[in-house]
Amino acid sequence: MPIQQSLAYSPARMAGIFFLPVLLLLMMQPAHAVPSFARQTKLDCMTCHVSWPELTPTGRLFKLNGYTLGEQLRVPLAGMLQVSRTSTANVDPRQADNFPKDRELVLQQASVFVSGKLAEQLGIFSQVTYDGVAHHTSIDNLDLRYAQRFGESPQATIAGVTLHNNPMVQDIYNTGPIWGFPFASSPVAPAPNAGTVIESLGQQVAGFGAYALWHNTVYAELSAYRTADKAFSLLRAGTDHAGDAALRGLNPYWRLALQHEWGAGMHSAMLGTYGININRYPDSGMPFGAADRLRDIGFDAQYQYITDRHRFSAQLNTIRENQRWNASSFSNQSDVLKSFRSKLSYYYQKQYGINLSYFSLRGNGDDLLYNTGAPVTGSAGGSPNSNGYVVELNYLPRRDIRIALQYTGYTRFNGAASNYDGFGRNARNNNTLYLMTWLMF
Amino acid sequence: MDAQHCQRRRMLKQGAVALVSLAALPLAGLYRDAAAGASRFDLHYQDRPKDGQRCADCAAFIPPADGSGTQGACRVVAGQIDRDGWCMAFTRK
Repeated sequence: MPIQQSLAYSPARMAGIFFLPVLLLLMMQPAHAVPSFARQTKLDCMTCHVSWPELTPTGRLFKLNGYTLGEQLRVPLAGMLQVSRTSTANVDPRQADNFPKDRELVLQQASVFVSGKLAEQLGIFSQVTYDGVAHHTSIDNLDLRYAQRFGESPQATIAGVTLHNNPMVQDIYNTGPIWGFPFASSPVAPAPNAGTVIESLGQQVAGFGAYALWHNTVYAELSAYRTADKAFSLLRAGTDHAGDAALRGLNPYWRLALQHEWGAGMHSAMLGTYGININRYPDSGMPFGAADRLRDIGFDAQYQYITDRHRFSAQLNTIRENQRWNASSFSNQSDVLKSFRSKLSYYYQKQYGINLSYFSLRGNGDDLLYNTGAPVTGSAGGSPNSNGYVVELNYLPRRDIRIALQYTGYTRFNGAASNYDGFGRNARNNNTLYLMTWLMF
Repeated sequence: MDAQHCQRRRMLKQGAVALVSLAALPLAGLYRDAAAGASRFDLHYQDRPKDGQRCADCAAFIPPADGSGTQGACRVVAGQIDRDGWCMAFTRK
């Protein structure tokens, strides 16, 4: 029988999570968001972020202008630390490998950013991350941009090109899988077995694209992705290449959004759509022959209300993925996977915040694809269906310190609410309490 | 060997397309109108203060060199900036 464990923290552990990183930070220079950007522009982090990393209209303009606004720094370096503790509701001691470091304090991530203006129209956001769970260092997100503004207000158009290593890391809205909520989550808790391809290619691909924002209203982007090998291998430096995706040729991505701001930028709204078509070899060690085709089409919307005292934002995102298994052998020749996520945020005085989110994954059953026969991570019904909610409380004692308490609850996990893995485990057994301190410097 | 050769050719072709695309921006004649800094319109710049906030008190404001006059510049917004102006990037010093 699984053993139910308490979610309570010991006082010593709590003190460690809260105060050790804070003490470290107090010895450092005051900073903000991606702090090299703040040092470059002299702006407060909460000018470009509703609450980091969610971008305000000013933050989106900074990104669209190629990270070049402000004065070029001699050394555009910044750093990040995430220290966390996860408590999964039910830890089965017979399956201890599925719960590494549960109820342990972990250095979740330590990152160094090289981010800032490189030349008059050229800028970069790049990150190298030490994963404190896997004890491994590798490249993280990277987005190199060349951008220019053409014409004068109000007919100005911003246009640019981007080289990046993660689909949608270049996007300017906080709806998609890369920059959407949750902005940080447990690195050790069980997670649903299904996911769309657009969120699974980070640090494995090289993306080249061109984008434009016309009259501050219409945003469009066209990009293409290829395997980040050979001349592009820097974009996946340090990753486990054996597990990396191998793509056939160039794979297109498109993005179209309508945005509007009113009340001197106090209100902003966006309606958008995007899509990607991926041809992926089933075995990255044999990148030839037939390839599976995965086609995602997404629709998203965002609203933000921003003042110094009150900040409110709402996001919706839905993706439909058509999977055609031309090369892999699963139960079906083709499958469908649908992802939905919504999020509401409120921040008071930029210091106290709450995020509420609902998510769901739905699709047709495919026994060979989802029924791995494994306890905890498997699906006895061969189903990708999962849904649940996230409640997250935030406290920012300083602009560059975030303490987050996040609860993730599952009403269905890998196909069922109860005995989803065929070994007696229920969806709610994977409910997770996650406490994290996040520092930027 | 042939496969490698083809792959190299494809990579060179892709690199060339990327470079040509970069070069095409100024060649397209658009460079003439290119400007540094963010658009005033995009940042909702106005020539008057808002709720007691004015550019002279903003961290991004660059005062006029002679110390007098009302027109300065900004690290973020393009063009001349009025001391008493305001935009949505306002950050108090």
